[in-house]
Amino acid sequence: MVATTEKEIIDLLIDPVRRREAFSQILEKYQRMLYYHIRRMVIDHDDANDVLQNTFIKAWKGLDNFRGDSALKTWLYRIATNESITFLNAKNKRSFSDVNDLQNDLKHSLSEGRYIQADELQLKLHEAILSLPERQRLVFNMRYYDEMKYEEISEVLGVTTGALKASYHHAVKKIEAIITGVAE
Amino acid sequence: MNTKHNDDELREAPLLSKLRSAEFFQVPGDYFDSLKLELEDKIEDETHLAEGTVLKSLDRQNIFLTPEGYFERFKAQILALTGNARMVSLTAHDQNKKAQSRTIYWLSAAAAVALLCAVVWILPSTRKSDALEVELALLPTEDLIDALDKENVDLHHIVEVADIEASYKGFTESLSDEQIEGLLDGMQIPTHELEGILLEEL
Repeated sequence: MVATTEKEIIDLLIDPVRRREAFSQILEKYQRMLYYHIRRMVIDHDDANDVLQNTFIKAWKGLDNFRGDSALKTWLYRIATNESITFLNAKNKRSFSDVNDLQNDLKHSLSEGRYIQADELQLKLHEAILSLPERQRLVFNMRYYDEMKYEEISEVLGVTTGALKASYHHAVKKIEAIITGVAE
Repeated sequence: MNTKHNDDELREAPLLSKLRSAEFFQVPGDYFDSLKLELEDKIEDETHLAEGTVLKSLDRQNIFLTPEGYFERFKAQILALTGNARMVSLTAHDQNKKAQSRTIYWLSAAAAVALLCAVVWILPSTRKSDALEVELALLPTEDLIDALDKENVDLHHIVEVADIEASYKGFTESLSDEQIEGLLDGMQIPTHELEGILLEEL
């Protein structure tokens, strides 16, 4: 049986014999989604690959802790988000003295890195996104690109939907101002 | 300012006190229930309106590419990793952690071996020297001084000789003077040599 819905996958996860089969389906269903979520945070493909692998390994190790209280998607997003933040913090601590250095490094990866195909305006948009504070960047990406509901983002970040809406609103205004200034 | 205090203040103004209890401004019955939902919708509308023309005109294009066949290989790789009983994490951070754990493990092992060596070799020799001191303490001071006056005599030797002398004394004390004389005559061994033999044998 190929589980198509999240409920079916969770039912398979409960069965120890079919757990690996269920995990394979989780990989199939969520790997792209999580990859791009992570990639938008860490920018570089190799870094995204490392973080994505750790995300799935942690998910596998933590399957016993997943009781289905939250959606599988938001649970995986939460792990991926935490892994991305941990990675960026470690990178900042390891290589830079200032958080702005990390931001500049990410911007450099954006313009010089491999596996990126963007015109000038798209690059400016992503640079503008990188100028947002980390949490606001996460909110913007999940809403703007992944089109997640505020309730889902709230589950991922543990922030109220009201705060998320305000955060997204500010992010949109900031980004709009930056790219409009560039476009003029 | 608490209500009791207000009531006290308004004691001489009963009309004002009565008006205080009545709410002047009224709201529709379900106003407060629907307010939250209305505000959330408004914020959402505002948010969408705030998405200006440039941002709106841009496709939500994914600028990030992956190497060809990346996701196919990735799935196989993760399944292989999770297939092992001991799952391996690939980041340098985790590898460093493992290296640290290995270092701690080997340091602990080395410390355990060092401790074992101390127990096996050093502790007995300490006990031995303690025992030596006890035995030396039992000897008469004069004997010790005499022995130390001789060259190339160490403390172990003094204790050994003392033990032998004690045994020898025990042996000779069990014999009568005649028996000893007879023994010496029969063997034709001078007394000092007999002492030497007894010392060697004992």
